[in-house]
Amino acid sequence: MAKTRRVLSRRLLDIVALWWLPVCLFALWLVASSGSTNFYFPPLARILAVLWRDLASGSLAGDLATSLGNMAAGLSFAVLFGVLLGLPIGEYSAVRRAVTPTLNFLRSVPPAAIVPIVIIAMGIGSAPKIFIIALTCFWPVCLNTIDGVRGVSPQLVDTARAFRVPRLLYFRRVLLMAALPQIMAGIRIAIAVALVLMVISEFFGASAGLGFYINENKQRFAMAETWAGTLLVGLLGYLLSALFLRLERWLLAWYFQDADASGRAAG
Amino acid sequence: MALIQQIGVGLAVLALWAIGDAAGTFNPDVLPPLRDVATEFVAIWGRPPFVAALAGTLRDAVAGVLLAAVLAIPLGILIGMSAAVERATRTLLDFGRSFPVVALLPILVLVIGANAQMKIVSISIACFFPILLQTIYGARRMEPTIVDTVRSFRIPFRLRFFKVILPAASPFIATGLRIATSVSILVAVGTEVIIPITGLGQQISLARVNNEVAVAFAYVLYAGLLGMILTALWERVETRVLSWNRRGKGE
Repeated sequence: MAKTRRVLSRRLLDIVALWWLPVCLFALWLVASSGSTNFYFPPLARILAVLWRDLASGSLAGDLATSLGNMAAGLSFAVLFGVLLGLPIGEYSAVRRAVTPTLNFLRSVPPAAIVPIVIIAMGIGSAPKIFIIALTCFWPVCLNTIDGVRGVSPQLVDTARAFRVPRLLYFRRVLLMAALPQIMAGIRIAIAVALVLMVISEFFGASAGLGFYINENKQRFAMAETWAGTLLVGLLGYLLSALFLRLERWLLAWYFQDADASGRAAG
Repeated sequence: MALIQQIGVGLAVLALWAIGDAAGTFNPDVLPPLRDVATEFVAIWGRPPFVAALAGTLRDAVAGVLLAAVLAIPLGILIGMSAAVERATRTLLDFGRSFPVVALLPILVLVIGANAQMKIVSISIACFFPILLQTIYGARRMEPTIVDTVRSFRIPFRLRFFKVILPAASPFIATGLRIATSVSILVAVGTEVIIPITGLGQQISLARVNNEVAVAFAYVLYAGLLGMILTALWERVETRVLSWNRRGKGE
């Protein structure tokens, strides 16, 4: 009993240590802005009220669903193709060396640059946005998969070869599993990138989505709504990355356990 | 041999592009013919807005990185010097890091206006977090012997800041600056695409609206080249400035 209580109070202390500053700053913003008559910086309480109103009425909730749907579709394509191409490129070193400069150039093209080209050609629906998100997120996933395969321990590869593991099984059960931590790191980057491209593409041309909500309210000079949408996007970014980190820890429990154990043994 | 293969892959991609054009596989509004893009890639230098756009993007990106570095490096070292401060700011920094700066563009435009200052502000907000996080990380990773030495000799704060932690964190700061350099071009072009401010992104939007898809594509290629050259240049500076560190590690 005493032990659980001690563990609980330690967890509570941890939470306090991590959250006291953000909570104080939030309270400060809430109080300092409460009497604000500045057009550009409306009171935080009003922003939050507007956020709640539009979420509850379903209009902003619909935009949120549209945006999340486009992101999920784009990310799925990116992960599928990024891993499918990254595994063989990483496995065959001659291929990897030959394609690296081309990949590096294609990767360094600023993704936002293709937004006008794609959206004007393909219209303001969902398809061009999914296409843009998929194309952009493909790079971090593919490059991380290549790196992950490169980092697979030679003993593992040798063992698989000695046992004559069939090629397909080798790719699926050996390479994919061994590269998974790095692939997950790539997907984590891709989620952040997808959020950025989602917003930019909806600013440029859209009839629904979070970016559309922000931009339309900006054009009407509705400051509280603009702030509400911006805060919601920020919150979404934080929640998505926190949730994915959880998923990563859970999916890769074997890997982190190993790393912790060997770290402790080495220390 | 490797170089020949690498050039071969590049040429193969171009060949696929040309074959696709001939077969009519690609929608010319999304991927214009290779020949047209190649022509515009050269002809673009004769366009009056080109050099100004290139200079605008480059200047504002560099200004944004510098502004972010001036703020983030000292702040990062201060945060990294104390475990309690680092813990208290962690949630805040996680939030800042995952915040997509482009979402702030409408507010920045209303508050600052559609001008170069606004672009520099948005670039520096985006570059601030990678530099800050790397600096904190570098300042936290002090070797225990150094920490003990500093404590037992009661090294004063100023000396500790400038002569101990700053040099020890510098390789990590360099990594942060390199990430920030590539982020700066991305955010610069992204801002220009949405909001008409002199730069490559604005020209891409304009060319596309005027139905000059090949010109827009040529601008896209130059934007990619600019990012690549800046990163390569920064890597050279990094190797030169931080060579003492590598040498120390190598021995």
